[in-house]
Amino acid sequence: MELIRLSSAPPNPGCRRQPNCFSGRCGVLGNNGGVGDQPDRQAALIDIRSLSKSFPGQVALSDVSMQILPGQIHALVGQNGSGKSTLIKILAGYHQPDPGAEVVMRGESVDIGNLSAPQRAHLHVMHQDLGLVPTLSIMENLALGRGYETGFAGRINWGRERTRVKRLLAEFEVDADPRALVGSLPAAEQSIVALVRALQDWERDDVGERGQGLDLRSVLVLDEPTASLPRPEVERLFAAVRRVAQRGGGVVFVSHRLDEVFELADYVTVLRDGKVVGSQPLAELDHARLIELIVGRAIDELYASPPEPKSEVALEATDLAGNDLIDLDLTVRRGEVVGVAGLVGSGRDELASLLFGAEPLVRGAVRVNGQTVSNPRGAVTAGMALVPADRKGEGCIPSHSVRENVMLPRLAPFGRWWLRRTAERQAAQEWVSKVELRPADPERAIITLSGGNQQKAVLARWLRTEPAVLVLDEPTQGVDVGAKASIYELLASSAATGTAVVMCSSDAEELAHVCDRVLVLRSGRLATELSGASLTSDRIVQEILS
Amino acid sequence: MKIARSKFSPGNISIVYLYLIGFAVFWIWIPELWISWITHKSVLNIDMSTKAIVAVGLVVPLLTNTFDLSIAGVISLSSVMVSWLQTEYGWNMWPAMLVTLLVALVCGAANALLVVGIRINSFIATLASGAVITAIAEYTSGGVQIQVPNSFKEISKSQMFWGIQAKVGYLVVIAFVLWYVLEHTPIGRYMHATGDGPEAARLAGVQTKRYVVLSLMICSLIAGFGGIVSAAQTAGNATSGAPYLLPAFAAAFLGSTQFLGRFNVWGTVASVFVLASLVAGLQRAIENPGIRRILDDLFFGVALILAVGLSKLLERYRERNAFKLRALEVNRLNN
Repeated sequence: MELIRLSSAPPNPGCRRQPNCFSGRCGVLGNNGGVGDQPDRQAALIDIRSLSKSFPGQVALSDVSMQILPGQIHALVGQNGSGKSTLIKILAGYHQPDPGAEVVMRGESVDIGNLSAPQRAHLHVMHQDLGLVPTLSIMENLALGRGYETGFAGRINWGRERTRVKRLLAEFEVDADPRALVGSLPAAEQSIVALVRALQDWERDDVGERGQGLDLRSVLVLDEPTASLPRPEVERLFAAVRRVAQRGGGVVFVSHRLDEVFELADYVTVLRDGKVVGSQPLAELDHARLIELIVGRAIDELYASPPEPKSEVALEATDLAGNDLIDLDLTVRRGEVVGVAGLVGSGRDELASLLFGAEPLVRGAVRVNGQTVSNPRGAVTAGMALVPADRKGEGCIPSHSVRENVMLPRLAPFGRWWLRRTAERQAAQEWVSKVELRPADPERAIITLSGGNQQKAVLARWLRTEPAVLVLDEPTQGVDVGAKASIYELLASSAATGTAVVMCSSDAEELAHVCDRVLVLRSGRLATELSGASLTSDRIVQEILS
Repeated sequence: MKIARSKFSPGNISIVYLYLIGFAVFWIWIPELWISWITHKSVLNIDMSTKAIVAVGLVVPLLTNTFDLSIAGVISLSSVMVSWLQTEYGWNMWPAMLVTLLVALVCGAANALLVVGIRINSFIATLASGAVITAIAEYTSGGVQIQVPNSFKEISKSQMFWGIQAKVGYLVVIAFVLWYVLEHTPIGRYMHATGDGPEAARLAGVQTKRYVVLSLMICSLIAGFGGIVSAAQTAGNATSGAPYLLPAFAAAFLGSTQFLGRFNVWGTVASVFVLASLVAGLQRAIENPGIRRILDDLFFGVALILAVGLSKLLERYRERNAFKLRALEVNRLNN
């Protein structure tokens, strides 16, 4: 309430031009010291103190404090299982925190588990799955749950509605027709539409002058917003997020991609084991130190060093063409780790399926150790392995146990006419400990594992077949930092035994560190090949975009 | 060890508990009729065996996530076919049975062509093909029952021991073979994989199409055998298949909630046995002929709804728990 009064009658005339400025830069708050002994507390858009959450038998969050200031982009990072998702779920109202939590929103003490509708409008969580309906227009999507402006006899005032939406979109530099279907927009614009939908509620605020723009003194929580965005589109989304912050909104940015955290955020809160282990401006941290905070130990080598390639050719693809890809030639030698970079639609995202024969080749041929491959079955017999990007749909059989998933491609050792359970169990146990699966129980349904452990199990499945060629598509997508390091180690040791590894990834940093050489694809063609000193993540990004 | 503990929990073997309760109730209600070998023998011989043979056959395509609604048609056709060949053409029963089984296989192959070749949804494809197959059966039989020679009736009714007829033996053999194939051979593992994650299985090198084809052929073959047994029991009849459709699906789905939590042979056999026993008990206990007539449909219909409803609830419960379980696990590891 205090803040609202201040905003409607700012004592500093200089601030009248920016009614939404609460960044403290204009001194409004500083001059009005009458709000109490904790000016910071009052200044914060949301101030969380001693928030805990326990589930039966475990503590997910313990004594978490976090403060989002106006204009701040606040990164929230932590490994899978650090309590990050529990915290987001509490903010989104899915979970009730344990009693004792103190939360102050915009100067008012609130019950975070039970926000009233106007309070909820000022704390919006945007999930990874945007919740947009692709077959509806932008306008219709924005109207979902909000309603239209209506005129005589309940007629929707389409004209006014369109101008309103157009103006909202223009604020974020999206130049799309409000009548365009959301499904037809580029990925980043879809994200921005979701963002606008979150922000439009703020427009209705009691002091927000309706139709005069947005009242941005609210908090937007972005949960892994870039997970499915290609790199240049990430830039557009970031520009939109920065705009929200510039105008005084608070942003909580949750991401596994630490380079993005450094790029976008100015403050970071690190969660580990449900506790806040670090809360400081990002400027005070470097990459290595942040990883150390997240993991709880120093990772000397997140990336194992690539081995020397051997001479024989393991994989040879000639004139490869698919939906996007045009005439790609690719030769990978034994023990070599080759990366493939490129935007969505450059051919990078279909290369893995084409090599494995999972999608039909428009033209060209793939040979593994001289043997032509044209379908998944043939690929497996020829000694090829595929770790697909879509883990739940293609990588593993979710309801089956880790044992069944790991053994699937090669059941022969356990007998052709009778599967010997003991032998199979033993082999499963062996592989579970080899890839350090947590929990180390091969009889667990694979879906109950964390993303990183699922991926380790999928990797175990293929390493067990001792493949000549291992093709991976986005191998560390949705995988926490700790598991990432062990996946890289597994890849390196597999390459050391002579496996040819092809790794398609949208993570330039990962490619630069793990691969011997990286092919950059642009609009379906090989743009360039980077290796040696020219192989850096900056260079990869530059080549992708140019 | 976790598995061992939950093996006999009420959720996993509810069907056994249901049977025990039913047994106790009928013991009190109709002691003379119920505590008599004749009653239970007739459940095994008449009410259960053919139904269970068809139902375990249906488990195979259901495992690969494929429906086969044409089983009713296949049963009708083979029941007509095996009688027609013997009476109309005077064939010996062995070649007649062989040709009938081949015809059933052809039906399965036709289903496979529609489902795998043309990629029609299996529910629609087999609903339609089942109608066509029934039509062929109707035409062949001319709309009348075809009497079969007594020697042929022997293959169904000849007694093994304690008055148990041969078809119970067929059921045991078929169920045992299917159980072995589905649970203990690579083929079975590939079928499970095909049903539970078709794309993932394909990308692991499993020839998923081949296993869907195989499962439809096996199902038709067994349904064809069921038709032969049903003809031997009474007569060749183009309407003999329809009453098997609902019990087969009800038992397979109820069976899928038992023992392993997925479609399985012994759960299905147990489901048929328990449902048939309860129906038999009620039929002996209730005087009203109107009610006695509807018991079969009523029981199997309710069982199908309960079974599918139960597995949906279980699924949702498991999904809800998956997140909690994961959080718990991480916490345990951290400590």
